[in-house]
Amino acid sequence: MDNTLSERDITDLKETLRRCSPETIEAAIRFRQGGDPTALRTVVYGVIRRYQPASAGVRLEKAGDDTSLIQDLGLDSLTLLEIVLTIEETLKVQINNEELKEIRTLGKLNQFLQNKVAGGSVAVSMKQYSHEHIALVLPQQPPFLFLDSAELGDETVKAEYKIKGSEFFLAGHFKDEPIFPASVLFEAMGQAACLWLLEKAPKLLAKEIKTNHVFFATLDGAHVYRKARPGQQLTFEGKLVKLRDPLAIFSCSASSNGDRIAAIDRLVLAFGEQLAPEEAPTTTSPSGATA
Amino acid sequence: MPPMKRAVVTGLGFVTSIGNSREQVLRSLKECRTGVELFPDFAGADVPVKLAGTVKGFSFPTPEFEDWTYPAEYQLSREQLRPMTPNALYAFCAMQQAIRAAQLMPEQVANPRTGIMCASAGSMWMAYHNFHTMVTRGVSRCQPMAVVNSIPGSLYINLVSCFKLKGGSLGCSSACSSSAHAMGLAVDLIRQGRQDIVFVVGAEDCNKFSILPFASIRALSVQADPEKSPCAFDVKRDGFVGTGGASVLVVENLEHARRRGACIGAEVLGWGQASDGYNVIAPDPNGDGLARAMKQTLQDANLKPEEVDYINAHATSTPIGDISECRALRQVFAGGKVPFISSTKSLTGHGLSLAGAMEAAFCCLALQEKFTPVSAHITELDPECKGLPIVTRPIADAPRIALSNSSGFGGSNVCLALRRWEHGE
Repeated sequence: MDNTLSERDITDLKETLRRCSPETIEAAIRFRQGGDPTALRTVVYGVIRRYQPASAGVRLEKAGDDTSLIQDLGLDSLTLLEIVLTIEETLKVQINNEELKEIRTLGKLNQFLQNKVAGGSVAVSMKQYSHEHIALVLPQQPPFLFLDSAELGDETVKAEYKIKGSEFFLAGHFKDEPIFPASVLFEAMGQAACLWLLEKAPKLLAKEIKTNHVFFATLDGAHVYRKARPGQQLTFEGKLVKLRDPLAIFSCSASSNGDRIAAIDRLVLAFGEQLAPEEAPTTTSPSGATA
Repeated sequence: MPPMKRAVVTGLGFVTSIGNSREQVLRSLKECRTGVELFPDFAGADVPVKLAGTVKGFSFPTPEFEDWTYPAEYQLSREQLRPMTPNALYAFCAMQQAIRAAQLMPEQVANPRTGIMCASAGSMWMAYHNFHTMVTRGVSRCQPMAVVNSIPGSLYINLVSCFKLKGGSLGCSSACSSSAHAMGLAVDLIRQGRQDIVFVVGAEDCNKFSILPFASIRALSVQADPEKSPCAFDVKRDGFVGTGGASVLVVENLEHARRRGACIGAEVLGWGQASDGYNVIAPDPNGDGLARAMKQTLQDANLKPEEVDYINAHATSTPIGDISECRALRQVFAGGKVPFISSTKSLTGHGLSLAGAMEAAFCCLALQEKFTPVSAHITELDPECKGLPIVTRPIADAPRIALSNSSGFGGSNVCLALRRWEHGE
């Protein structure tokens, strides 16, 4: 790229980036004129900073690639649209609706824009789920839904949950010392596995699976390594080990900021019409709860 | 059929050209202080109109809400301001006053039994900028809020979300009778027992886009002296002067108000509406439609014409409109006692969709504070007003029953009947 911007272009750019810092505007001009790729990050951060509400939990200075745009930076869906419109106009790129759905973290946004302005195609391999979307799929509902967002791969599921501190059970677990219960950690991993099962398995098995026909069957080798407390961001990862009607077997882990929190060596979900709750396989189910 | 419930007014809120609080408005009405002044937005030789009933304490230099200023006692978050129009911001402030005046708790406001009836023409200014962006910069550049901050519904959309209202909500659109319609509908909801509390909100922008389109039909005054115009019922009247702002009335079921020990300002006895069936813009010169609306109102309120003490006339100060209203008044009060008549628009300017609610609220003040508002700037009454007791100077009369008239384009007429609430009643 080597496009000298006209006076008019620069005026427009300044108008678009009104209320952004002078560095942001300079970076945008550098980027548009010479395609300086290092300027991209400055522009993106500058635009987000201009729209970020004062009440946001995480300031941009402390944000990393994993920082969630919605949970951490406090951007609601409309603010995200404002940011996207400003970035589109500044960088002269188009972000379509499908692409927009995939962008959940700061890292994703940066990577996406880098690919985009490089003219390359943006590979979208993982399917992203918002909290609202998850709630439409899973039978679990707030206040007993522990996934804020999720992405599904062919045989994997990765989900995020931020411990808000306002969860109803933290008032008693424990009084004056809120700790996220181990049972709920396992439940959340079960919910993540359930999401994968309901969304991916029907196609693989060519069979319908009703939301209320999935059951938490077995949990082997369940470990807890660290306490999880309010404010922590939990990442749940599940990997399909085996899928054979009527069972799906996963191995799961929970971590926070890279630290191991918990793991399940073998989590088994049973599914299907024939499995009425009382006829569900009588295994060593620790909770007996339906997933 | 069970007997109808009674509707009373338990709170008022004002952002008007003559004041941004009950106290200021009351003082302006009693002391005959005009809210009209030279409007900087109309400066320039190409604009024939110079005056407006300006709203003080607010500024909207650009369509971006981050540039707007408003009185420091009101606090709005970015999320609340972002979808707003100037008229919605005025209304937000007036709503807060009305809620405080009515001493409503948050759970009484955010309640399935509490609704809102709104009236505004939307923000043509914001609509213009939104469409301009769409046409010149492309469809995908249209702001995310482009719909909700343009359409007439933006008023109730914003207020319902800001105040977490749970009852019925509606935006009325009948030009200059819109908020009188909102008031009538609110009264019906209360009388039928469908709601316990209904906020009635009239609000309009105050800018070139909300006022100057009326210049092409020569409806606006070209007078540049705010001490001379508007002058409803005067021979020299040459059109209306536009204004904006917001007025809110808390209309409440009498029993509900009594149970919670609310301070009642006035009772709404009834209302009526009728159309001219005559012309898109001009009123029926004989005032037949407005006369029918008034007669219906008297019947609905179970009042005899001679019981009415004061009429807040629609009287915008246009040559034809005022005459048409005088003829309507003669039809209704022929042969008997004619109530005192004034146009408060001569002080405020014409608030368009805001007018009905603003003037109903003025009537509540007049009834409660026992004074008769003066029709300002009259030096020589139009001969058409002969025999009608138009209040050109302060008088000692304390009205007990008042009517408030509103007429809109297309000959849409609404009349509201209010009664003073006596101490200890």
